[in-house]
Amino acid sequence: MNVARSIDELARVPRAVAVGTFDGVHQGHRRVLEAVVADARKPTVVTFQPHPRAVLTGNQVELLTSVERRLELLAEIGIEDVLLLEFTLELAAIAATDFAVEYLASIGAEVVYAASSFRFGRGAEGDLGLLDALGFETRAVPVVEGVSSTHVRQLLRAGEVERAAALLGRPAEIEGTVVAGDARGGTLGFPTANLAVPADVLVPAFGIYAGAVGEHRAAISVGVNPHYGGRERRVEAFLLDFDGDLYGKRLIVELWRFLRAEQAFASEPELVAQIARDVEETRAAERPGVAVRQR
Amino acid sequence: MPPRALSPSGIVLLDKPAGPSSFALVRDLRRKTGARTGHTGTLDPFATGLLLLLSGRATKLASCFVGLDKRYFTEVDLRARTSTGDPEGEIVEEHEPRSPAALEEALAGLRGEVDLPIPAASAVKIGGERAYRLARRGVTVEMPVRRSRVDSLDVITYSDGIVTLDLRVSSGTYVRAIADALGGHCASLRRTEVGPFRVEEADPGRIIPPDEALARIGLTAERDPA
Repeated sequence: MNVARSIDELARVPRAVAVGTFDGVHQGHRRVLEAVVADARKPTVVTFQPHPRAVLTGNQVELLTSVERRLELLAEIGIEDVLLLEFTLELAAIAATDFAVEYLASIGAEVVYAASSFRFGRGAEGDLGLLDALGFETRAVPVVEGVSSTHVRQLLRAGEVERAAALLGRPAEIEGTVVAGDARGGTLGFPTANLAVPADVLVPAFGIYAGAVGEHRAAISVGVNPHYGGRERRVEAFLLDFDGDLYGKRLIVELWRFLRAEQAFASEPELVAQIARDVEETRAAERPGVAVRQR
Repeated sequence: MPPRALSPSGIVLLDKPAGPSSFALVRDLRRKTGARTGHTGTLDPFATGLLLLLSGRATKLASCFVGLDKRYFTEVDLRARTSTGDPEGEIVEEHEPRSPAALEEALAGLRGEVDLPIPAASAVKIGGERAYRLARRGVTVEMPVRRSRVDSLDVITYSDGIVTLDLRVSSGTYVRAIADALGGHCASLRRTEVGPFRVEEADPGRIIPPDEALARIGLTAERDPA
């Protein structure tokens, strides 16, 4: 997949295009993106960074996916070209018609696929009807009921990773880079990878989760390690049946099931016994069945 | 990850049944061949008939095939208009169907170059509210229109308020919009031709080589990067 940051980097070829932020690349997004990929014209996404709502409101938006992860997921779906535009107040002030001409027509967009609720341009004045009137082909993709990035955020903040998985179309995940931690896990017999998560990416509810990193199952702790009186948030993954060095590596940690809340124990042996039970539960956990795709 | 193999390269003609989306058929072929696959114009799930799929390297030829004229058979139920112009929308208006003479008059106005409103269908909202809902409240809505060319529009049968039409139209014409303009909705829709390709030729097992497909639409393989 080719990622361009300006229209000059993209050839003018016949394209099928979807426009949007696509944070989380959830089932609703996927429906639109798969429709783009099913079109014989070059499957292309026009997307934005930072999150438009963060720019427009000045409030931080906790992302479901980093830009890097978002691009990976777009590539997996089969998108071939991405135009990644920096979202600024200037960009937000462009009239919908001008945006359509400058950013869509100029790269060869012939057909635009979007949810029927799709809006773009200054004051969200543009919609599929406008694009149609401007001579683009448009295809309204039915909205998937109940699926929204906001809803997924709420579920993750509540630790409901299985329900989130159904909306995402894949397990919930935390991504990050392995950095040096407290090196405490190793002394307990459960060495963990300590994950630095990008600052603007949402971290699900504190607690212990069963999940996986690649081929390895993993028990994951999200929280402050109350047993040791920790203050700082940590995301740590103990990979089962794994022996190796992960420092500096970027990991995608899947969260399959919420096992329990964090807690302080009366003694270290009790903590270790509980971790052993967490690991057993992790072995038994099942990857959330991703909802069957409709139609 | 979807396959991106460039072969087999060519065009596949399918007769889409009612029900599945065009996308589902693309996916089926993609699974079978392992090649990048795309269609050259969707049919709504309720519609049937000819769907052109391009496979492998031939997807690069998409622009040669997307603009082809189309021919459809449609049964229009003239007793009711629906929100979408097809059987999947809700009924927004019921009335007595037109007399054959009035129908012929309405059809005459739809031949040639016509500006047709884009069906509200597409659930396009105007000012945040669905156009048909506004229409029901008596609010006049300026719907975006699209210029279409209707080369022929013939009545095959007309009885009990259902008219069967045979139409030849330019690419991008919404048959639903024509049904709506007649005061009805598409009860069924079947695409019988796309350019020179006919639904009778549909054969899911045959991949027409790019040269042959291009020759059919009057282009030479020189334009073919395959």
